Amino acid sequence: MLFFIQNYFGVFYSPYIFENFLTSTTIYMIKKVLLAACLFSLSAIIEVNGQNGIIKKLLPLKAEDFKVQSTIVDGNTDAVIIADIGSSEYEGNTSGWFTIIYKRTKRILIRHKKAFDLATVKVPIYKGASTIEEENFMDFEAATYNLEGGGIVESKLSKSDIYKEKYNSYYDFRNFSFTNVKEGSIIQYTYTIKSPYYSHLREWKFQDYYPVLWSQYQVSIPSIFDFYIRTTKQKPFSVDSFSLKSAFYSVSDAHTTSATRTYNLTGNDRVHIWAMKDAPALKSEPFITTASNFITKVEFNLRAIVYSESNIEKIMKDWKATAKDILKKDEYKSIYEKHSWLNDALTVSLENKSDVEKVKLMYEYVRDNFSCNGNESIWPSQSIKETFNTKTGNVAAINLLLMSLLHNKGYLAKPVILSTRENGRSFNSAAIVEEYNYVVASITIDGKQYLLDASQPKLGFGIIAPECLNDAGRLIDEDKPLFVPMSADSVFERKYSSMVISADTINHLSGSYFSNLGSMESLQLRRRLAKEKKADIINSVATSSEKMDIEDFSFDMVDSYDDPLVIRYMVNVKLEGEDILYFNPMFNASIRDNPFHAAERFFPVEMPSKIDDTYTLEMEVPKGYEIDELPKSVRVMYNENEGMFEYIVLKTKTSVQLKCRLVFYKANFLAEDYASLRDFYGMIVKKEAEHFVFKKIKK
Amino acid sequence: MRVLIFLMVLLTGSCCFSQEYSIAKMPSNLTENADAVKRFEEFHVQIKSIKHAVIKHKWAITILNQAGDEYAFYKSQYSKLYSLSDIGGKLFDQNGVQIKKIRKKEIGDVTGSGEHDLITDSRIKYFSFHCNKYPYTVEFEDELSLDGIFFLPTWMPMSGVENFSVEQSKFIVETPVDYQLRYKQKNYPNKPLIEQQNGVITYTWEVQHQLPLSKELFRPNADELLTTVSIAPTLFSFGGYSGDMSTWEGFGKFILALNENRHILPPSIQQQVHQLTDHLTTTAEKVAVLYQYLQQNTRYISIQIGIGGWQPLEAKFVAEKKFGDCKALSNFMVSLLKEAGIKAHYVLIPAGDTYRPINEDFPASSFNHVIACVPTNKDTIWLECTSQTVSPGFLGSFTGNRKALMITDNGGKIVTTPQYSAEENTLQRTIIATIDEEGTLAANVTTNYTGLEQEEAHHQFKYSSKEEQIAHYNRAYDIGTYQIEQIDFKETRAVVPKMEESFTLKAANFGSITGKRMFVQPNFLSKTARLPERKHRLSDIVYPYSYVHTDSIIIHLPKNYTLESMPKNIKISNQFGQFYVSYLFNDNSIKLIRTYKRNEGRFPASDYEAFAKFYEQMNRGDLDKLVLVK
Repeated sequence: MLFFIQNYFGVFYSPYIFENFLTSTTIYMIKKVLLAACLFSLSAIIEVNGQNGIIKKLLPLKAEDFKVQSTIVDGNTDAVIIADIGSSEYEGNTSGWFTIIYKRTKRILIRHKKAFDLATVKVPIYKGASTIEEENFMDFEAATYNLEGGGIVESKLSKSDIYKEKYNSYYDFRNFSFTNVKEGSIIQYTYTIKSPYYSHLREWKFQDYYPVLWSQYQVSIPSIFDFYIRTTKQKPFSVDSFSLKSAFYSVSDAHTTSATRTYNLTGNDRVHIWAMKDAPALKSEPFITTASNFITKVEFNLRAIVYSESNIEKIMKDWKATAKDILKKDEYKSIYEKHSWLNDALTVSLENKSDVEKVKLMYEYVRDNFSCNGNESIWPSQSIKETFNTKTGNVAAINLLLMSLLHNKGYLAKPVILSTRENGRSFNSAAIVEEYNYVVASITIDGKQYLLDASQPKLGFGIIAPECLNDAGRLIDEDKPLFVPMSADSVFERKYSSMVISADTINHLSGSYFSNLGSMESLQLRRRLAKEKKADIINSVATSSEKMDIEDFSFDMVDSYDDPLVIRYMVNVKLEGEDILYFNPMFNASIRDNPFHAAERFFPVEMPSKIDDTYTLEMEVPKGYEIDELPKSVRVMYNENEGMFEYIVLKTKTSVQLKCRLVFYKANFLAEDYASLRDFYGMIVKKEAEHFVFKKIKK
Repeated sequence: MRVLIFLMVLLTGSCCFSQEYSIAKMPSNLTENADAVKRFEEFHVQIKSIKHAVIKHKWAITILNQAGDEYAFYKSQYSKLYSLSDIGGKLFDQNGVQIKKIRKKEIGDVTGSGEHDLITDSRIKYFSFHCNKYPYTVEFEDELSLDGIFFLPTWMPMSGVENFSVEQSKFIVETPVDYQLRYKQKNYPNKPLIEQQNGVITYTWEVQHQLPLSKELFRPNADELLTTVSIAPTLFSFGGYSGDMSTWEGFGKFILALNENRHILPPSIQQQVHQLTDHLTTTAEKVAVLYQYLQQNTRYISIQIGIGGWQPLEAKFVAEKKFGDCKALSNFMVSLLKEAGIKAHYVLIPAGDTYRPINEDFPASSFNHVIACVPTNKDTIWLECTSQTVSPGFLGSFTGNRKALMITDNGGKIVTTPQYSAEENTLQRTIIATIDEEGTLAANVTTNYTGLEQEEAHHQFKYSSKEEQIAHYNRAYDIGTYQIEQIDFKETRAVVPKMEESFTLKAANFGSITGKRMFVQPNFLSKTARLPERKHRLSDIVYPYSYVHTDSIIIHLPKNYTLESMPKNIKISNQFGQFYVSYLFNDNSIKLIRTYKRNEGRFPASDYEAFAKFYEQMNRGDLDKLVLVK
């Protein structure tokens, strides 16, 4: 008899992966299969790629350990992670299956008070649904070490120093705080977590907000589990080894009413060791999707359970099979069912409208009448009917309702799942559904594909919010589960602004300004207008280094989400009869600060969109003045044809015209491009700071 | 069966139609200038005995726009001593039709522990309604059972200070006939309605139609503007202790009882105290040495369980672990001083700038922090025991300039913490800079801060990593693209502490070149923003403290340029302060001195136009430019 996990799709991809697994998994025992699996694994090739430096056990502290010498540590380093060493291995349990034993030891030198927060540790313990045992925190050891009078003084924590804290229904914490912590203390802790969640092999991060001298993770995986292993790194690991090691497991099923049966299993474990020496402190940089996309780490996803060569339970599937499984789930199946109540509900008339107009009306109906509770998931919080009745739900609930409504009106919309920028980049080549946290609708009308997201209240038809533009989504279609490009490179942010200044009377200039914002800036400002007071926004939109009074400020097209938001205002400039008059002709429109501050950069530059920003000025020469000097016209290309900046000045005797345009034909740039981007922006900032100069006509 | 369910849905659907929350029923003057309107509230406190009270709370708020969404969020704290039950929530559309009712499983339950808390028994239950179809109405209710009546709630009908109005709100307090309740009303014109029936006295306060206030800068504390009724016990019991809160003396005696025998130090620490202080002569020296000992050997960690939220951990716990919260560390400090023969006190205080000040004539538990103090002949030395960095004797904006309760052997006594004068709150900046022919600025900037003005620099120095400092200073100023390097700090510990901050600053394109001219804004670090225009200022203008800021700037101009025009000097003096700017051109360099003195004070709302004008004048002056020509 052997163990068999009921094929339950939910094991694999909900964010509450454990929860689903726990409530619905039944363990069967099928001895034959497991025996076969053991035989199978014995035949594997043994490959050892040993490298130096692997730490088996941390050596006892010596006085010289308190003086860290490293190229990644300097006088300003407030703490150093001397070593962070972890391992995960499996153990047969008495519930007829496997338990993961996760061990971690961390040694930290605290050099400055600023890093004292490191001396309070909160370890999350997953407890899952109440039906199964929770993770077990054990083998705790912790101590503070201080150098005193040449010797090392140890202040140990005991078990009674651990505080159990109930965090929420899924997690508890084990909290402890080191005693006698001073500047120069070393703290060290060790613990073990025994976890019944066999598919949740803990990930490992090799970097921290402080420099890490040595970070090492070892996993030993029984041959029955086939994990998909992903590493993210900026440079090669110092140790990256793989070997096979024979292993023995004793599994019993004490929970049945009959006598306990015990099975002794032998096979080969796959042993991986990764280590990173001298990982510098993590730094966030502007213009990246999320720093967590770039942390050096290793992650695991259970791909299959291999009972034998011929009996492999695929858990991670290809996109076709995955799409099929998703569409088989009740929530998704329900999109394409007939809901007559939904048919009657639509309060807008679709008569005499084109297909696009009809779809747009239905999209607006869902967007404006149903509210998203802000929770992102590809799984709806409730049934479509309940979403309809309570008028609220998570992202999936709202967009599934939209798709269902469209379907009931004869339009086929298909789900597109994606991972938001904050959630991190999804991995496209494998169908790891739990990485996805958002779903929108895709519909093709007259050969044109529209992506619709009704969960965002102020979004225009066919627009995807910038937070969701994270490279790509995946169409959930059994036959063609296509990759859907959703890159910032696919969005052109077009802005057009104009200022007209007339010299109506002596010592007075008056002007009018308007600006048609791009779709993203329009969305941003609409979101702000809904929440903030208009006066505060005006203050932040129209601050100027010029001395002018702004009047009649207005935002137009605030509620026409498909159109650009328009800003208008009038300006008044009082002159005092100066001999020399000067203006920055960009007024409020100039880029005054180079967005790229840092001299160097590690990460690629991911701008939120492509850019096309045009500003024009028409200005009458002030009465009693003549042109003295004007900025020179320039046109500069960036990387030949990836971008362009032009600043063109034309004059007549009584007026001056300026056209200033910045274009970027792509949004994503390599880290190598950083220096040239920074210089390009530097040039723009400089040019846009130039002045028009007029002088008084001498009589 | 299916039919039956269907019928039931229909029935519940119709009985949930609630006329009372229809928007049509709401007076229009309540919605003007409001984000949300409290439609109804019943805040019902039943004091059963000195050991037990029950608070039943039910309220409904109509949310008019997205800015009001925060009121659709329900959040309530509970712990071992306060049990929370009967939480309910309903969502209604604009016609008052119920569209959703919260289910038990939708109520979140999380720890109330923050980043610095090691452990607390405080927990939070919460949920939220989400509706983007405005207006909509939420109705919430809950019940809190108090084990002991040490804390009693304050009724504040206006849940938000700004853009919030009240249609109707009622506060009902019941006590046994033989119990004497104390209360304090603010901005409530009448007396409460007091009735007695069946051995119960009922006090009722009610307001209707309170109009919304708008956001106003430099406004008095919200407590002064809004209707509040605070209630407090006479006799009470709490966590196994009892007391009498009728007077501050009595309040203090209760704290004395909580702290009793918690000051005992282990012999090793006693010895250390003597080693450190026996050879010193003055109290001030001894205090400074022991405070330094505390700062170097302990750190702040919060542990709050049950009565432990009010009772300090024993001095010997701190001696052993070398950490504690404000109560534990203050008690430890008082114990160290006691061992050195110095009389010190434990002081309860409302800390932070949003916490409501205490009412001297109304003893009540409205404290959130503890400090220590040592009265001496001339002065009192104040000690913030949770900080490892602040100077002995200095209380900053967190605890300064307010009333606090000092615990003496005879009970509590109201004391006032220090306020600092304009001469003590200063910023003096010296800039020596050069502009080259390309318009690039290279400047050495040294700034001396004192008193309240040094808090930011102190924080940067003590709590930010070098990288965070660089990031902070590279964002702090509005001068386009610049780099700050060689950031350095010097601290002078004193009762009015000083910080010297210095850095070099490089800004390309600082001087903007057009043809033969270069434009330079010589005042580049101290800029005044304009104030929003507001025609109908309602509340007084309050400057909580005075300060003086002086910038002395010398800029050496590029050799091949000459000065074409220079801004005019500015001299403005009025009730709000003084603003002086002077320019001196000499030997191809410009010297600018800018002084701004702010006068602490309270000015009538009618002064607002002049006040905004003053800011505009300063803003214009700060933007003045020099024009250089080749």
